[in-house]
Amino acid sequence: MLSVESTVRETEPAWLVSVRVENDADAALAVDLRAATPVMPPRRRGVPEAGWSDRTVTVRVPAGGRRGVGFATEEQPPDPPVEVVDRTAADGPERAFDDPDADAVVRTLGSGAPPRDAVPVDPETPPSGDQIGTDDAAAATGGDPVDWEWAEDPTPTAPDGDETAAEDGAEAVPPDLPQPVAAWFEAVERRCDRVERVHPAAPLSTATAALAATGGRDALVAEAERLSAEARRLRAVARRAEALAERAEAATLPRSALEALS
Amino acid sequence: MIVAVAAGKGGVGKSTTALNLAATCDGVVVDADLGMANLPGERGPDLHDVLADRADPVEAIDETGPVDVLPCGRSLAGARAADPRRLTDALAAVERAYDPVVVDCPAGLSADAGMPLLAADACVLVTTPDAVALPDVLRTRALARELDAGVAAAALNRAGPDPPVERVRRALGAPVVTVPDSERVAGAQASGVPVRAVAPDAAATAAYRELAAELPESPR
Repeated sequence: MLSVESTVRETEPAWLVSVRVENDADAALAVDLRAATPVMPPRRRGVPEAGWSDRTVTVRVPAGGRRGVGFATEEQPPDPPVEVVDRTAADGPERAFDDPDADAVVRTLGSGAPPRDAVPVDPETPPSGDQIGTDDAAAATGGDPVDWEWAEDPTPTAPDGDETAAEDGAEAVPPDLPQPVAAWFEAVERRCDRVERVHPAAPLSTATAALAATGGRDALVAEAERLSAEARRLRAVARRAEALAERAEAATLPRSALEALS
Repeated sequence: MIVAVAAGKGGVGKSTTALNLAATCDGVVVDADLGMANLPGERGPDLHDVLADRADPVEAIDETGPVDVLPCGRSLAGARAADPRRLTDALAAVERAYDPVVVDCPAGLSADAGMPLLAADACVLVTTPDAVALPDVLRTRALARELDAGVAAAALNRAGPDPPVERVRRALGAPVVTVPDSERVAGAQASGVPVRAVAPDAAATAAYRELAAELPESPR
């Protein structure tokens, strides 16, 4: 007898799904669970935990035992958020490298890449995925190929950037913004520029140039999708920044109490 | 065929063994020590660029020296941008153009050290006959077994007058080739050339031939 219980908790900017699988049978089972919504699986050292493949995860549940599995999703999941799509007998012990592949090696051994703080910051290089976002490839390595392309693109920075700032009110941003945050904002602005160039009212030559610069239609669609995710992150950061600013303003030092202490 | 030259401890002669093995087999040597590269490299794309998807692995091979080398960069930013998960595909691409591919692995047991073993058909373990290096190479051997890289042979470097060949052979379960401590080997390595280029009759040159003979037959 196999029972599956799940709970869903809404957080910002995702829903967190917890699933508990209990196996009352006399033999261990490998249970395939499929999520109803796109999944952001838990990660170890930047790569998805063992057992995850797209929306499906395989959970080994010992005889008479239970196992838990959790994941995040950006869409509100239905009830139930997962369904059992397969179950088979799980023979033999679990091994770190049951089916060795590159992800399993990184997950088990950990990347030997130098820590982020050890790398000198290039002001032209936007922050990597594990600094702020959750980009899959960048989480393990700190190197997002798309970001590197931006870093090598000299055009959108100085003069254009100043004009954009004057137009959209970005001059309100203090000049002493922390470098990684400033770089993140600039990267999102550049991404916005690229997507906005394909506006229906834009000249055809501008749109085709934007398509070519981005790497074609599919790349541009992917960039627009990433922009949606960036928007959610920006709003989440804005809310937290607002709350933190209020707290910082309220945190005044009671001078009389301080003098009494000294 | 892809051969990983691995050891748990650094400084036991992995890079020297890899360079000389590639020279003896007329293959290419890949410096996969992403954090601390030490094989010679000229200006141009390197393994950091390949693993950051900025260069083609075959085009990054430097054929201007006495041994064909896919060098590795030395910058921290390059090491951070390199995704070690791309190494298996990169080595497979190199193998289609060169044979054998000898991979100089980094020390330690991180993913950077495991990835070449994952990609390799066989491995050569390198150690020195001391109480620090030997336990470390046993750990690397265990990792190689987990990742299905059979141990073809072991190089016992800086072997003194009475090297513990039989003990190492029993411990590693593989043929052991002793490479004598030699100023010629060190001098050649410092110049980025294999020892056979400067001392074809040296004992070390013969040792690397012996080591190459222990490699499995290439399927080609």
